[in-house]
Amino acid sequence: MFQRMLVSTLVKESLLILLAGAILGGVLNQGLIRASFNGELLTKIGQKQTAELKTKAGQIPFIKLPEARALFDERAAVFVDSRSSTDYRESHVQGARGLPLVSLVQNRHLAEEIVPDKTALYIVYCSGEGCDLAVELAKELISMGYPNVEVLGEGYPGWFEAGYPVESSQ
Amino acid sequence: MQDSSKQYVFVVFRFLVGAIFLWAGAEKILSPFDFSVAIYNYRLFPGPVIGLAASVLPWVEAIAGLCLLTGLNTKGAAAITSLLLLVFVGLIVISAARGLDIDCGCFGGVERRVGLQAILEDAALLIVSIAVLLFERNPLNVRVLFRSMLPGRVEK
Repeated sequence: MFQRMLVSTLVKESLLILLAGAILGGVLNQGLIRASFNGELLTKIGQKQTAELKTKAGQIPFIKLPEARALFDERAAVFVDSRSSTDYRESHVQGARGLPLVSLVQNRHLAEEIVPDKTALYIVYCSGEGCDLAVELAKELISMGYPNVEVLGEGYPGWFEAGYPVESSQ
Repeated sequence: MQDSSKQYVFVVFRFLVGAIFLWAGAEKILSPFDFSVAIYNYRLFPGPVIGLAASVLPWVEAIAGLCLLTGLNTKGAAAITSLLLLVFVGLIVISAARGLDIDCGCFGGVERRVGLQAILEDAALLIVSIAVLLFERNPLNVRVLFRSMLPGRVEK
């Protein structure tokens, strides 16, 4: 009997707090909730993250997805995957070279093995918006004497979602 | 330790969890869009869930924190903070296992990366919150304070 009363009080008190939170949050953030249901919120988040990434990148150029695809078709650029080896093995842009930022920081000679041609155009990518691995890797490569490095802001998710060619190394 | 002394330890626990949740909630209430970005970075939730969570969760956190600080609805508030901490620990473990290097979004203005330190801190706070839920008997709250301030009333 006592235990049942205790549980009943617990449930009532919890529901009261949840209800108060839902009403206040719902009423005061109607715009945000509406934007989340019509897809505007995700677009805004993407724009914010890309803008932050570009600020971080400074002078390093960003390449748009269709332009990257055109260079891929012409075989005019080498794609470099800066994500972890596990992510790379699972799936990557077809023909991309795997050069995780962590591995390069630990062993800078790795660049000579994986991307030996310093004059080639390199397109570096990672996990898309919100991920700064590609920008950091691009900075490293430029500091090591690679003049033509660009960042694919949409990253692997953007490439994959566009239906462009990918492959696995497993 | 005597029973009354133990109770004051739990009151300190209650204030600790309350203050942390009130602070965390208030930070997010001030910038719900930034909190929605933090939720998005976990890459687990669709847009509508992100919008609803970013709108409601900060208020639930702040109200639960306020309840714990004032001693009103403490059991319900402690149940909510325990449940939320359990979810937060789970989310951080999953994200760390997926290799995501992101800010956990726990406190609006303070950067706290997903990883072992965040897991241990949240797990410790979870234990404290569960202790409040199970053992705290509410000897210090605003009701008692107001009653004691009323003239001619003696607290039994």
